[in-house]
Amino acid sequence: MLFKFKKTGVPHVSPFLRDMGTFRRLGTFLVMTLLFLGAGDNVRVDRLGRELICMCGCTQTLVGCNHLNCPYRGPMTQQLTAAVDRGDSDKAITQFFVQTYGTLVLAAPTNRGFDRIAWLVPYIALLAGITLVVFIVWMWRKRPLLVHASVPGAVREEDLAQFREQARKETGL
Amino acid sequence: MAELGSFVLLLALALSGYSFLAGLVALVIKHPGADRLGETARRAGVATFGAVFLGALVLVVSAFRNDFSLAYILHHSNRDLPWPYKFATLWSGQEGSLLFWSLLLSTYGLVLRLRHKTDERLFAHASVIIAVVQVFFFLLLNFAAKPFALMQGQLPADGNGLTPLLQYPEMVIHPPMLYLGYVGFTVPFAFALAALAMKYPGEKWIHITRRWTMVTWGFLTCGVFLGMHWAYNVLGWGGYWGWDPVENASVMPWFTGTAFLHSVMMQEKRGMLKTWNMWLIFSTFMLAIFGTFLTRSGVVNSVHAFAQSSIGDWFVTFLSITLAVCVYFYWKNRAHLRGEHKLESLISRESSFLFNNLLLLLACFTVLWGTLFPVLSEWIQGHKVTVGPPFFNKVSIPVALLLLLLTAVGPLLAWRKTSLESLKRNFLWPSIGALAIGIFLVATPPSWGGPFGLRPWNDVSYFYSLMAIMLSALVAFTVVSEFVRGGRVISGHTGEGLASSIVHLARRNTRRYGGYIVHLGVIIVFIGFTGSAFNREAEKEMGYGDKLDIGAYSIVGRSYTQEEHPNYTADLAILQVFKGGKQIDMLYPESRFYPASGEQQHMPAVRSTAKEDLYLVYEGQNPDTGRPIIKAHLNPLVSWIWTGVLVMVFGTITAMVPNAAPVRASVRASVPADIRVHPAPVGAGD
Repeated sequence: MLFKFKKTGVPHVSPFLRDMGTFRRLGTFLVMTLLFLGAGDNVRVDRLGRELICMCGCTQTLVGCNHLNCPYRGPMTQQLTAAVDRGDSDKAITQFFVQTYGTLVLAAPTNRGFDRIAWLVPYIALLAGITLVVFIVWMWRKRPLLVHASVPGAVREEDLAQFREQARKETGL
Repeated sequence: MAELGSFVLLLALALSGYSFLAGLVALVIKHPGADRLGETARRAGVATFGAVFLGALVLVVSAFRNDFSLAYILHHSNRDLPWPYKFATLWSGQEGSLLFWSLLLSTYGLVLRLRHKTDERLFAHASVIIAVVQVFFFLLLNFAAKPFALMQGQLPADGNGLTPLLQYPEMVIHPPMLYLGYVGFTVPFAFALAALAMKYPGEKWIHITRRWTMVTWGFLTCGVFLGMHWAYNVLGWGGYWGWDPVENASVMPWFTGTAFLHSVMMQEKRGMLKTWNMWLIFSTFMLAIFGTFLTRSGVVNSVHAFAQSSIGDWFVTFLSITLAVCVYFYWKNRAHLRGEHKLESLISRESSFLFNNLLLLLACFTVLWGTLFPVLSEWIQGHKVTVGPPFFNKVSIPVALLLLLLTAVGPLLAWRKTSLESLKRNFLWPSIGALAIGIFLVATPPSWGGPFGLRPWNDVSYFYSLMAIMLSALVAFTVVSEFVRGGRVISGHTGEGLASSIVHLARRNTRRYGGYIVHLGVIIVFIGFTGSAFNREAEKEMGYGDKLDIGAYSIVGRSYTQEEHPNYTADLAILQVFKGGKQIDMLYPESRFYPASGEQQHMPAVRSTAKEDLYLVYEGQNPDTGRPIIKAHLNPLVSWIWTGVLVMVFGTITAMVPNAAPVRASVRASVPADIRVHPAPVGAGD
């Protein structure tokens, strides 16, 4: 008998089934682990494939190249998959591809040496630009207002017309 | 035909040369006959259009007549090429596209010269500047890139055909749109330089060029997005933007042109940023020329580029001369460009425009920097490096997010100064709305598919997507609140319903509210871009009955067949698409072979919905197994991009419509005459 009911009505699982459940849980865990390990590898291949350029001249990433009978995409993908399966580090894989295909294989400049300038310049430009705008605003605010040297109290008709025109423009009507 | 074509191009050079020289002399000398000389220059400019139009017509007719004695027709056409593509032959190669450039420039020049009565002196100056640009292009066509060059020796029976990638309906529209945008910036450039050279008083040149600039910007926008749509539907890699140097070249003048469209408002309303605007439009024109240079010189590698040639030196020379002329006139007349007002507060519409310009220029600079860095690297390090999508995405996405934030904040700021109190008041509800949308997206289960179930802590691309959607919502709420607030004011005065009041409002200030509609289009496009963070793909060898699962879809291989077309043969995969166990569609991705050029090409099949695109590519057959390979992409929200562009175009057209007359308050007849309110114009306040 697989189930024995105690007086409380809660089914009592036989030791056999309990063991089966343990096995099942273990099996499920192993299968899921293997699956996720595989998924992790795929994700890594995909991620690294987007950081490499296919050398067929299409200027697309290794993952993006879809040229019919491309002579590079297949072998390069195989090399990448093999390196990921071996458990090579990202750095080692990148180095391998640079040694094999040259620096053009990397989809973006590295963060070393002269290449680092490529990454730094846009941020330096942003900081310089913000500083410049704030400086311009500060300078403009300091600029003195133009005051007419006419007799105080007497407002000239042409000034009034100018102010009306300015108000019209600034209110966008 | 070739002789006629060559002759009219020489004639066009002579006419534009005369238009330039005679026009210049007429402007410089003080002689009673100067006006008549100037008129002859104008008429020569008008006649230039006739000559170049005839030249373009000769080339198109030669394509239709399969005149392979012309090297250009031999290399870019063939007998079986369908007629729309024979027409597109005009802009499919280096020489023809330069001829097309010249034709469009001459068309713009024609319109300008026919409208000279608007302001004869200013238009005469602008006409001279346009003439000198025409001279440059006609020199190229006559001496460096001849479209009517003849073949030597035995002629082949058929031509090489048009590049298969270009044999797609959009390629009949995309290049003209892009070129109309590129070339069109010559007009505001010419007016700006003319105004600077003649120390033209006031902002009249900006008023004259406002519509030109918007039309040009609209064309460039359409051109860029049509290019994306073409890339998506033809290149078959599942994406629409690859940060290719030629794509980058098209977007750089778009950035500076957009900055110009915003900053001219400061000059119009406050008399500020005169120098800045001048240089913005100079830069935009030079970037358009620079883009043309990038495409044709072979300086950078690109799938889009024309054949490598020596015309790069011509462009470098022209750009150098243009820059020198701009610097000269600026230096000479810089005192004329002094601002009339000071900036009073950091929290003001003026400041928001300054920061908007900063970010747009930074985006332009980043793209330029990334495009040219390989050249710089080769020059300094001795070897080229690749600057591809990872670089551009990392650097430009934060800038784009900041731009979205400014797009939300900008309309809430008043000219001169905004109190923090009013900013808080106007910003509160849109911010709460945007935050609520963000929380909703994070709270929903991932099983709903992107962009739902966003987990920004898992990946930086998810974080960017969440920010982009929240900021887009913020922009949408602020824009809608602007419409509603203005509509209520009019409704209160006229007693009309809110919807019709909003229409009145938009018609009263088309430029402002058209601009807001463009902003709405931009955020729809941005939401479309965010979908790329959730792209999925799968690839499988699929025989008959084999199944490929991706997302909620199952694709089953139904059959494979071949089709013969006059110009190509196609291998078709017939694939059933199932969702929830029910067949919802049948898709037919193709792999084509073009015998004339000996090239193969994929033609993806796309099932597009508002939520996602199912994008199938028939990648050919595995050479080892002989089994067909199908690649499936699931790209969320792509259709939002194309919808957003349509909204942007609608907004641009709205902004170009002249303002309607002010809405007048209705007055009830029953009100006693002595207390009757005098009807007054009603409009939206800022």
